[in-house]
Formats: sequence, C-alpha cells, structure tokens
Amino acid sequence: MPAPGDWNAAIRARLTPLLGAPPDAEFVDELAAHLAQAYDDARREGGSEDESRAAALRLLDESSPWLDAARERARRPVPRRIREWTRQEAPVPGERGGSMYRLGFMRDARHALRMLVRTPGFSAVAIMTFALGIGINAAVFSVVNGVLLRPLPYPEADRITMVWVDNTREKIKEDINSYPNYRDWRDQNSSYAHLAGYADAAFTLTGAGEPERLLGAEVTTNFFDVMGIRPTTGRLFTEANEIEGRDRVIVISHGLWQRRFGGAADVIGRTITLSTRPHEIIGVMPPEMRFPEGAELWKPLAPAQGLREARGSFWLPVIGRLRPGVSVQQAQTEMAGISARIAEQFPGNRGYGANVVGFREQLVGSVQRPLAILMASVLFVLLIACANLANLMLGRTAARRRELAVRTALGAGRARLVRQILTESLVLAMIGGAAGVLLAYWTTGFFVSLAGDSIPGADQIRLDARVLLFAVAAATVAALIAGLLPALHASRAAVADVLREGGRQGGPSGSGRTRNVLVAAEVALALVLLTGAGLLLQTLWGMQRVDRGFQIDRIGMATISLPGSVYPTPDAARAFYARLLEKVRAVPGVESASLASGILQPLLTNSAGFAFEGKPLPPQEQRPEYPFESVSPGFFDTIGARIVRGRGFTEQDHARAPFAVIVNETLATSVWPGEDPIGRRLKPGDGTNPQAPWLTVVGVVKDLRRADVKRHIRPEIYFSSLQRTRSTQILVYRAAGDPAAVMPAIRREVQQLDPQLALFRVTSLRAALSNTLRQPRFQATLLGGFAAIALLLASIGIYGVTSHAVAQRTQEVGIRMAMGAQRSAVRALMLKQHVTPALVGVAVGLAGALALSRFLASLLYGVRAVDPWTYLAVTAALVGVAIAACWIPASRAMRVDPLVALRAE
Amino acid sequence: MPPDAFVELKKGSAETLVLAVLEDGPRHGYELAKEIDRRSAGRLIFHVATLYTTLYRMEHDGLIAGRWVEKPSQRRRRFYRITAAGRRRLAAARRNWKDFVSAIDGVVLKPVT
Repeated sequence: MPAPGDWNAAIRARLTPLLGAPPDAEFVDELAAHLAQAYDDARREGGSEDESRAAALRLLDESSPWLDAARERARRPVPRRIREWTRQEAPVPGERGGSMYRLGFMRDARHALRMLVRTPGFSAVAIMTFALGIGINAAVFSVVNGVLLRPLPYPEADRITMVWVDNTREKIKEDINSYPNYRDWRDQNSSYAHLAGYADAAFTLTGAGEPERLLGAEVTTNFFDVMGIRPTTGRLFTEANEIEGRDRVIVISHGLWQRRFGGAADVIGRTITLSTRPHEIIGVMPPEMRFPEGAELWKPLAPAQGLREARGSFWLPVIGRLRPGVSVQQAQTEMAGISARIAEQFPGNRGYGANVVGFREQLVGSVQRPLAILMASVLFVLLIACANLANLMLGRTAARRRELAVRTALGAGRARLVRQILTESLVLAMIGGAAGVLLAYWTTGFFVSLAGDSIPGADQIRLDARVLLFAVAAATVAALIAGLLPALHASRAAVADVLREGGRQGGPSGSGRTRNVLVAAEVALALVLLTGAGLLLQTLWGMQRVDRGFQIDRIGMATISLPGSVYPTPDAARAFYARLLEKVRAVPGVESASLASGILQPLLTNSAGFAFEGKPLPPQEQRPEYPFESVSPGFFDTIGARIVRGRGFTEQDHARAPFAVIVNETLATSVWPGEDPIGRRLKPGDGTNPQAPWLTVVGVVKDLRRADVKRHIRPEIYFSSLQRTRSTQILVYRAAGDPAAVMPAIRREVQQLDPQLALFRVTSLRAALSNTLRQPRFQATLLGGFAAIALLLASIGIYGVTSHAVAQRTQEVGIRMAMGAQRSAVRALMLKQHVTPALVGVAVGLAGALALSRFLASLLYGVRAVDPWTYLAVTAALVGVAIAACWIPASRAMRVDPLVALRAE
Repeated sequence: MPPDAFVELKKGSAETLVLAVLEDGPRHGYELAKEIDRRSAGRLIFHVATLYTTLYRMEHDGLIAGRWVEKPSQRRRRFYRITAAGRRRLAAARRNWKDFVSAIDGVVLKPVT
C-alpha cells in the first residue's frame, strides 16, 4: 500500500492543474482517506497494485461535481468553520513537529511571499505606503515616548510637585512666591515631606582660561531631598550654609565635572572663582540631576535680610515632595487654606492663592496637547494609508478571484481565505514596518532639530524598544485594517458564479460600495488633517508677519553682568556701561548700540504697582501690576521702535535729573483715554509714600510685541537706565550687516575694559524671536507635512478607485456613445456617480473638523478655529482632486472607439 | 432499470439515503458510499464529489455532524453521525416516500382492467 502521504500527493497532483491552485489540506485529507479505502478494497478483490491504485484515482476523474462540492463547502456556517480551523492545532501524523496553526501560518506566510514576489509593482507600492504610514507614526511616537512617557529620573517622581502662587490679581496661575510666604507654606503644611525654594542664577567662572558664564540655581538646603537625589561624590549643603557669608559652597553637575574638571577624582574641596568670589566644591551630582533645566551648579540660597522679610517681594519658585499617600488634590486644598490664612494676616497677600501642579505635568504639560494633536494627525495619515492599501488589495483580490474561488472550491473555508489574505497583508505590513523604522530613525533626528528647545527633554528622544514595539503594533493593526475588508470580500465571493464567468468581471459583488466607502473615509480624514494644518500654517504665517513694533534684522544682543564686589554702586556700573557703549559704538560695522534690562526677554521682566496722579486707586486686590524695564538713551532708535508722542530718553535723563518715564500706547490709552499723557505723573506703590519720587511721562512708544506674540499686549513703563541702573544689562546693537560678524570685536572691547567679565546669551534678535516661534513652527511644519502626505495618499487613492471604476464601465460608455449620447452628458454622469463618495467624505470631514476644532483652538493665533476660508479652500482642494481623478479616466474611456469597446466584451 | 436512469431520482433522494445509513451509526464517507452501494445492490453509486456535496450541505443544515477521528497507525478519518434534526428529517422523509411511492404505484401500476 502506498505510504499515507502518497494519496495526498496524488490528489494534489491530480487536482491542482485541474483547478488552478493547490487544494485545501483538510479536503485532501478526507479525500485521501476515501481513496485509500477504495484502494484497499480493490486489492482485496484481487486487483494488482497498479490496477487498484488506478481504480482509486479514477474517482477523481470527473471535474464538474467538484464545483457543487465547493459551493456546499463555502456555505458552511462561520462558527463551525472557525472551530475546524482552530482544531488544526492538533498535531497531524506525517507533519513534522509543531502545531498545524503554526505550520499553517508559516505556509501562509511563504505563500504570501511568493505572491508578493510575483507582483513586484503591487508589493513595492504597498510596502512603501506601509513604510510611510508606520514610519512617521513611529517617529512621532518616539517624540511622545521621549517627552511624555519616559519616566522622570527622580525617585518616586510622582510625589514631586510645584507649588505656585495663584495670582488672581493678574490672572497668573503659576506665579512665584516671596521668601516669608514660602517659609509659612513650609512650616504650616502637613502634606509635604520637604518643601524647597530655588532661584535660577548665573555665575561667571573665572580663573582658568576665558571667563565662562554658567547657569545654576540657588536652592534651599532641602532642595535635593525634594528631588530625591544624592551626590555621587562629596556631600550636600547643611542648614548653616543658608546664612549669608557661609554660602560659598557649591555642588556641581556631572556634566560640568566632566567638561571643566575632566572628571578629576579630587575635585571635592577645590576652590573656584564664581562672579569674583571663591567657592568650594563640596559635591558632584549624578548625570540624571537636570533641574532646573540647564543648571550646571547649585549653591545654597542665602537671601539677604531684606529679602528674608519682604513679603511683597516675589522671586522664589517653590517645589515639594509629598508625603507618601498624600494626593496632589489634598496638597492643593491644604496649601490654598494656608495661603488664605496668610492673606488674612497680611492684606498685601490678598489675591494670592496656591496652585499645586504635578512635576511631570509642569515639565511637559504645555506640549501634551500639541503632541497629542501631532500623534492623532499621523494616525490619520496611517488610516488614509490603510484605506489606500485596502483599495489596492481589493483590486488585487479581484484580480485573484479565480485563484481564491478555486481554493474555496477545494475546501478552503471562509476563515481560511481570510487568514491567507490577512497573512499577506501582515507580511507586507511587517516589511513596510521594518522600512518604516528606518524612515523613523532618520525623521526622528529631523523632528528633534526642528523642535529644538521648544519641547522639554528633546535630548531624550530616540528609537528604543518601546518605539519598536509600537511600530510592530502599528504594523499589525494597519495590516488588519488594510487587509480585513478585502479578505472578507474575497471570501464572500460567489464562488461558482465567479468560476463560470471565468474571472472576466472586475471585482466581487459589493466591492464597488466598499471602495466608495473607503474613498469617503479617505477624503474625510484628509479634510480634517488639511483643515488643522491650514489653520496652524495660517497661525505661523500670522505670527511671522505680525508687526512687532520694532526692527528684527541686523540686531545683535549679548548679556553682561557686573559683579557687585567690583562695581558696588550704581555710579560705578553707570560709568562702566557708558564706557562700554562708547567702545561698542566705535566698533566698525556697528551702527548703533544701547542697553536694556530685559526688554526682549520676558523672563527678566519686572513688574510693580503704580499710582497715577489724579486717577482713583483701585481696591488693593484689583490693583494691577505693570511690567517695567530700564533702557538707555537711543534704545528705541537702535531697535527701530517708534516714539509716537513726546520724546525718547536722552543723556539729560541722568541720575540727578527728575525721573522720566516712557509708556507704551496701551498704557497711555488705558490710563488716560482721550487725554494727552505727556507730562502726566505716576508713582510706584499706592502713591502714599512721600519718599517715592514722582515719575513724569515724557514719551509714548508704539506697542512692542515681545517674544510671545500670542499674548495680549500689557501696559508697560520704561525707565531711563541712567536713572535706574541694573547690574545685569543686555547690550543691544544694530550692525551694518550680520550682527554675529562684529561680535568678536565687541568681545575684545569688553575684555579690554574688564578681563573678569564674560558676555553671555549672545544671539541675534531674529534668532531669539525665531526661538519663540519654534513650537508653532514645529507644529505647523509637521502637521503641514503630514497633511501634504495625506493629500497625496488621498489623491492617489481617489484616482486609483475612480480610474478603476470608470475603466470597468468602458463598455457601458461605448454603448452610450454608440446610442448617440453626448460626451458631455456621459462625462457628467460619470462625474456625478464617482465624485459623490468624495462629496460624502467632504461632508463627514467637515463635521469632524468642526468637532475637533476646539482641540486646536489653544494653538491658534490670528485665525479662528472655524475659519470659513480655510474650510472652503480645503474643501475645494479635495473636491478638485476628486473631479480630476474622475475626469482623466472618464475622458480616456470616452476616447475609446465604441465598436472596439463593444467588441472587447 | 439501468443505473443511469436513477440519476434524477437519486438526486432527490440522496439526503434520505445518507440519513438512513447513518441512522445505524456513525460512518465515514467511504463507508457511507459502500453501504449505499451494498444496500442498493450496486445500483446507487455516488461520485465522490457528489457524495461530499451532499454531506457538506447536510452538515450545514445540521442534519448530520462530522468530526475527525484519529486512531493509532491509521489515517485520520472524518466520521459523520446523524443529529436529532436529521432523525426528524428522516422520519418525515420516510413518511413522504411511502406516500409518494403509494401514489406513484396507484398511477403507474394500476391494475389492468
């Protein structure tokens, strides 16, 4: 008797050429059992081996009844088929090891690979589409992963919170505190294990080589308890270090230790000169200590006695570590209660509550929404890609109808066919996913450079295991989405009808409807994405073109800070700055130079209450604070700002002259509406302090839009830097050409004036302002890019589907033309029928875009989230694409000779 | 009557034949075919594909149920058994068949007068 497997092989050999594809394994098994039994009986009846074998195989000779068998097989209910499919997990004699499921999958995968190689064009398009969709998803996810999902490097970081002042007077939710208020918060609360204060600080390191400006922080001695970080070498501060004079000890960062001290083991105990004072290094932090951002050293906070007691002087951010089991909400309630008690005791504190914010939210809260929108938008792109792929696969399964029908005829159940097509989709998605990961590797670097410092923790963005896992998951889901509809369609095809037709028609019944649904979905998704991108691009465009009230090009900036030990009096500082300006103005290529205390850097903005002569004073809790700055004579000319009334500062506004101020237009119109502000007077505080000088308005400057153009312009006051001198000033200069070109000469002048001084934050005004646009540019560029990809994919998808559908109707067109129909009428008919799904998609997309617009609203500037022009433009673009996608193949179909079209059938 | 003439009649009766054979106990496809062959004295022969068409349709309709049985050192086979619905269908088919034969007899085999 032949070996058990021989009958299977014989059946396959006999039926495969007859049916055009290998028969289903289960079916072959059942037939093989039948033939084996027939053979046995024939042998028992005296037949020779060959005769018996031939007799058994003759049972397969008739081909037509197999079609009926196939039809019955196809009608079997799904649950039973699924049961039988899963029953294949039982080991089968003759198969080598493993489960049928695994073997089945491997067989399917091998078959899929063979099919893909046989259709390289289709495979290349599908793989590229998957790669694009999965690649940009993985890249954006790597940003989300690095910024939002990455665990913070601090132990039990979820217990760390910021504790801000909720400044209801000025509607600032995250305001900083005064030292006495912080002390009361610290001593009266029971929610926090540690509550610390810290203040950003900058130091000039001198003594070895060129002076270097180092960013750091002055911190209360329990600051590191809050962060939960201990030094890798050395020790931390003690409470004794919080006293002025005993605070000349520092803890340095791992980076500074490596960079400046070469990682020397004996760095502890070394003395370095910071801002002209000697400081002892007592500890080195591990690399993960990165707070406040950019800090390279930490010094004990030892406020002067005045600041220790000044309850109205707000300069201290507060951070705390919650006790175990205490929630942020509980801490919020307690801290708000303490703030209310402080306000009762000290009326000056009225309007100042507490606002507890989780540390992670604090670090990444501002980018959560933009990143969520970007993530959603790339998922949209992936969905559009999937819709395209589903269309492609529908077309392909239509072309393979005969093969699939034969597989069904030979016993392949519906689940079996679905599995085969899904496996093919999965193989494509996995290859595409692998290419996508490569794409993500390249694009992630681009994203990081585009994001710059607009996204916290951008340096932590990289492709890690989680991103790879995401890519695999995305590929799997994409494969299911793209493959399921074609698989279900293929498996549902009326097998016998198909075989009788000989595979002449284009696709299984219902595939036209499915394709229309896919087109509508693609258009809807693309419309939502394009609308969002359109709004963000308008925002960026508007922000870049906004009239800031000053000139941007050819302006350079550098900050300089005079140590109090060398320049102890305002006169000394004034004298230095006067010499500095004289030298800088003489540098070839410098057209103008002046000083400002912080006008172009909002973080340095000061603010205070003012009383206006002759105007009623609002109740204390409603009294506004006005930002103020000091600028030197010529400053407004240097930056090209316009004095709209009165005059700018001159050398006459010196320390011994009456105090002169310049106000901006917003202040002038809000305090003196319809009046001439020149000559009006104001006084710091509530106006009752006889020691405080009256300040006279000598000019009104056009409103300046500073870094963040989205913010409303506030009333502002400018002092003359000759009358209100600061130790730290920004040197602002206008160059004849590139401002960076003259910077070496300016540095040399500074070195000649004082070798202990360093210029820092050296930049151009354009670059500084460009940084403020980084986040909107990041969002708009990415979303715009994604929208462009979406539009491209949707266009290809619509064109592909419409082209295919119109091509299917060539015969119909021929008949219509032969019957005398006008070209225009036929074309109109085609357009009407094939553009309709796109119009449905537009309607759904518009509804979706309107529903999602509120998520985008907070990112917009100068454009409404429901801007009708944007919606109109996007709709027109997509309808145009749909019409073009229909017009071209319809025209092609109409060029065919009607007789040829008819004969073709 | 030559077997070819049975074709139309066989088509209409295949289901009943299968149910009748399975009433005695589960059988695999080959046994079924042989049993029908045996009981009909070689006059009712199903082509393999026709047989399985009938079996699949009956399984789909819930009249029979199939399951794979694997025995040591034997090829695995799919055995079919009659279900409760199948038994009810068989009983009805028998009644109808008797009525039908009786009616046919009444017409075709009328006594010569």
